[in-house]
Amino acid sequence: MNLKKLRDTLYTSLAYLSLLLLIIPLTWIFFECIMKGGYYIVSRPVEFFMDIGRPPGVEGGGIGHAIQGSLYMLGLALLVGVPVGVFAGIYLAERKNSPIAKAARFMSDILVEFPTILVGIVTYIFLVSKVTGILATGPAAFAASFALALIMIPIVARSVETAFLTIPNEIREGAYALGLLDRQTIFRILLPAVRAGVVTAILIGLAKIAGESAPIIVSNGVSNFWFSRWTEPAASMPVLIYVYGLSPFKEWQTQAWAASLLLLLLIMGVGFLARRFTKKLWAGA
Amino acid sequence: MLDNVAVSVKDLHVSIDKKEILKGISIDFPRHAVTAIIGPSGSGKTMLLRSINRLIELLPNVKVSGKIWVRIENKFHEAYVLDPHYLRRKVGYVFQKPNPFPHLSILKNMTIGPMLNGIAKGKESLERLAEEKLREAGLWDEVKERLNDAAWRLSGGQQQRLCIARALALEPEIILFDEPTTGLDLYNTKRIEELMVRLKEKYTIIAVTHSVDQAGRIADFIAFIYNGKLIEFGSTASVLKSPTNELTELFITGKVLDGVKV
Repeated sequence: MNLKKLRDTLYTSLAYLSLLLLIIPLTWIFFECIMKGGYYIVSRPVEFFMDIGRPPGVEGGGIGHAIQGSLYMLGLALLVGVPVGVFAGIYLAERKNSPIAKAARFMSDILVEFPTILVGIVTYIFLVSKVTGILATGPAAFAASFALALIMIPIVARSVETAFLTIPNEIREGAYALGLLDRQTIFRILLPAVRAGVVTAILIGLAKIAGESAPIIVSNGVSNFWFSRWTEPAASMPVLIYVYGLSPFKEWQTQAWAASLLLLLLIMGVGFLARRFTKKLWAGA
Repeated sequence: MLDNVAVSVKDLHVSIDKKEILKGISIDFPRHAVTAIIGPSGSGKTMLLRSINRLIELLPNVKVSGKIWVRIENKFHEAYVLDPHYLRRKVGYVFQKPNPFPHLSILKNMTIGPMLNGIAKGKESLERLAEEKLREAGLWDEVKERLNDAAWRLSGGQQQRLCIARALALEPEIILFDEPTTGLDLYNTKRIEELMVRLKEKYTIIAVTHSVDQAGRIADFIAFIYNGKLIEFGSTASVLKSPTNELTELFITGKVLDGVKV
């Protein structure tokens, strides 16, 4: 074997090794979740999805309250984050040279990299803290939604911007040449043309916030009960995993693994959907 | 103003990023005729065309001065005073590269303009209008069986005729063509050229072309633009057979113009 071939083999093996290093942790976590939590879901499916937790030492119980709380929180976060993110993204793409767009692009780039726990803390301090918050409700579910929306918005905005920038300029000009207004061009021609890209952007944002725990803990706190009202703390899956996982009780730890498995499957599902849509980012041939 | 004028341009200056592209052009485009704008690349042909329906305003840092008068419904309107959306409806534009909306069907490409502009209402009248204009553009027989197909499935030549039909559906009075046969084969080029000549019965046609031959085939009048100035304007026969300007003669005989100052 000559030196060239040897080097080639070396680099190829290195590439495979890195690939393995990438795949092993994910697979390992996945199997760990299945081994340690999967049987719990299978053995008590109804209880796991429909019931709330039991005190330590008592067998059984479920994470229904956390699933419910997460759905509520994510739902409100999407309700706020999707329109703002999509509109912001459209603005960034269609008014790309305006000073506002430049500033917003810069800030959303920073916000994307922002530690999410800080977003939670800021939300807590300015929104719901009994001392400094403008609404002064104390830790509350709506605050967590607000924090999650803030985390989601820059991600959605930049992805929507990217989707709009894939539209060839001739299409835009074609619409204007038909006498269409800005509003008509954007919402009747361009947005439908990149709807797959916009859906992808929303799914990417959702996948990002679905597993967040830190901002929820600081803005909403912890709850072991069913959702009561928006101004009270609510349960959520990531926080439940955190609390149950760190507890010394075997039953809770098992349920934390089961909840992890469920969350992992959900995020993987969203990611899978996003990938399917990404293949058709732009409707053109 | 004269009865046989459709567009009157007076001392038009256009600059982009402070670079002067058009340097004082004055020209009267005759009604119900094909006027070809010829000139080398970068001479400002397309910018002149885009100034007429104000599509040029989509570019950043554009400055337009001078006046353009456009005849709409037998009255002259100042283009830069008129609502640009109304102007663009009445002064259609066909692009160099066919640009149907790729995510819409052939039919939807035809109906979306009239629908959003409120020209026709209701499915039936929109579809009737679409058929009429597709016939006018000579595309109906080729697409009538597949109106719900995506527009990008059509061939390049068909796409371009769809774009012409789409412009016709807005009931314009003037249609601007920006080198509409670029990249098309001879057959499709010929069909579009014939279409342009046919359309002058109902509309005024102004077409940019870099091909002197094409101008000779389709145009009643020729305007020669060079370096942002109108060098010569006259009937096709007079410009091609006995150009008065030396530059025109150089250009139509295929001589290099680079570096010639005007």
